[in-house]
Amino acid sequence: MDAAMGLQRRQTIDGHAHYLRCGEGDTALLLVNAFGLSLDIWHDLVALLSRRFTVLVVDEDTPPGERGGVPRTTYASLDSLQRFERAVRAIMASERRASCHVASWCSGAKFAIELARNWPEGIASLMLFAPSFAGAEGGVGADSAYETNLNTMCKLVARMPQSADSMARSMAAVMARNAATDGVETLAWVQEPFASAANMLEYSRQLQNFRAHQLGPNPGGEPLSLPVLLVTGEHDQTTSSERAAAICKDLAQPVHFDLQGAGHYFIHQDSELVVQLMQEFVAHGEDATATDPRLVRIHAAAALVSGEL
Amino acid sequence: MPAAPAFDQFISLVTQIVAIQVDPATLTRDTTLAGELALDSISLISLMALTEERFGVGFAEHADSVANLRTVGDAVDLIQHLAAAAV
Repeated sequence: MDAAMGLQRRQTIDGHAHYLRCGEGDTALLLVNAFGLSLDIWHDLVALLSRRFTVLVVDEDTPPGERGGVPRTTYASLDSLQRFERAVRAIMASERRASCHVASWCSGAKFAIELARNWPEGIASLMLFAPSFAGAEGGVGADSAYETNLNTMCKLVARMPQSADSMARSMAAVMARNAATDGVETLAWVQEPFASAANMLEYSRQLQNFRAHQLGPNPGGEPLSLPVLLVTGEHDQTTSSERAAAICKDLAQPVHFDLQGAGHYFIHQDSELVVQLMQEFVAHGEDATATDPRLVRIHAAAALVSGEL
Repeated sequence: MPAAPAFDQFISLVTQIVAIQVDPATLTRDTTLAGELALDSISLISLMALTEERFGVGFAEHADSVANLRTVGDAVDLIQHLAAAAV
């Protein structure tokens, strides 16, 4: 699938990391995907982005030719974040670039934010799409019902690995039944973590690592100084937009748009609109505006007044 | 008549999994899993994993039966069928 997107796998000059690359734009854009999922959800977005950007993706997956299973770029091990940051620096050196913009989806947000904190001179801006902070301790909001249920399932898989095969088979049957009886086709990339016992075990382990990763306050307590774009989906039932907004506001001064009528997968379902907004944000930063009426700007002050009422 | 022990044990597992507040005393064989208990697909397979552990049955070869469970009674019947077959 990566090749179908036009992404080519390369090795960094120092030989210590691999990455995917496409496009020849002057501006570099690093994508940070949700843990444990393939890049398929980015397919249409990458096709559009590669016309303007050089698109880069850290790739810690299995060696070429051995694709399959659950991707391991983030949260596969306790040192994944350090490996990721080293890989990004090596990629930028290989690409002979001083900085890049960073866009994340769902659970990729925490790695994106950590990268911006730890390498501020290398990151030009952050774009966080439907970020998930499941497992975050304290603060506003709570895990969504989906995040709670997924955590329960993954804890069960960890406690009863012998049941993973049965669970994987049952999930496949449930999804097939839903498709047959309700016409509800589950997106292929959402099914990947449940496709086999091995996938369920690996995905469950990554989920526990993800949830254990607490961001904490910024070093020095100061907000991030780089431009930050936050886009939430109005009808996102997968994660908590309220908590995402609160956490992002604690860490930065984000430009926040809520995409009306959108769910969790809007980077796929509304890819053209998202790319327009990304181009606007990269060009104008915090002064970015959106002309499409579906993109509603959420102002922090307005949210406060609304909350007080 | 449902076998009360199996029914009661299954209900105790249901209350561990469901995301909504439920009074176990109100649950019957006709209580729907997806509707009244709001079990999504992830919660359903979590419930069945707990059921495998509690009852010593295996659903791996009966995934279609799991997918077609509609009510609490359906689940209890499947558990009892598999438990009897395992004896």
